[in-house]
Amino acid sequence: MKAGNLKVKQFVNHEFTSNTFLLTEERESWGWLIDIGASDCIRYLTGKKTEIKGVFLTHSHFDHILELNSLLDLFPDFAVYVSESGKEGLYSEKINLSFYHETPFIFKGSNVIISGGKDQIEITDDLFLNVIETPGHNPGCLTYSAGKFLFTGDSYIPGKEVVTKLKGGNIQESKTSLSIIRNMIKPETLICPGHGRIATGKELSE
Amino acid sequence: MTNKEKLKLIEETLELEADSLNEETNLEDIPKYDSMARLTLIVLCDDEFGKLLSGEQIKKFVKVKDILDFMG
Repeated sequence: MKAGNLKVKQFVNHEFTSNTFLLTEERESWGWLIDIGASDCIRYLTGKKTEIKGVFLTHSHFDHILELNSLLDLFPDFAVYVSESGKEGLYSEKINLSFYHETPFIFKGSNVIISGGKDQIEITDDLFLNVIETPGHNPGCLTYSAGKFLFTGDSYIPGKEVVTKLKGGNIQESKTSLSIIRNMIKPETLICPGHGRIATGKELSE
Repeated sequence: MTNKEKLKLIEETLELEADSLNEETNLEDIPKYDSMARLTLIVLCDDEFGKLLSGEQIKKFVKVKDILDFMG
């Protein structure tokens, strides 16, 4: 999907249905990722000349981070952007819940950049990615906006209730976060959630 | 911990109304008893009781009593 100079490709983890999004430009010479739970994305990037500069994590539940170490094999220098609370999940198989799925996962890298509300990161010339704190599903949840795209992770999945039952979840915080996210959605917004398909603001308002 | 206290813990964990569960409640009858709910119970058993419940084990549970018995 393309909007302006930004092209977004969606990859899905077939077991857990979690999305990975590749943000790139027409020739795919560079790329940024939103979450990295889909092995199909790793396969796609293997052998390509796309230089992955970093990964923005919406939160650190295992289904959104499972392929971080595979990515490290391809791009040893990439940076992981995550909230302070989300960082704990990178290094704890119990906090990221992989322990309970019999596939314990711990991130082997160390290039982690703590990201928080109102941060802006320039992803290409004059195009910034904005960070919005949206706790509720998890205390460390972040939503990202770039151009017309809004990456909501599990803080907002159109048509689904936010899961707040998991450890650290908070239904009240989730309601506040949902209100913040909904206020950001315009008819032309392309909502890229943590699970499920990309939706437009227009179709959600109908 | 008494069974009543454990029931309260399960209700809170699954975001259910107070006193909505009893030992004989069928798990299938609990609203939204899905894979996410099972995962929260697995984490609860580990955090609160130090007992590791596998995904395969919990899928075989039929009644709330099965969870209470596992908690010990």
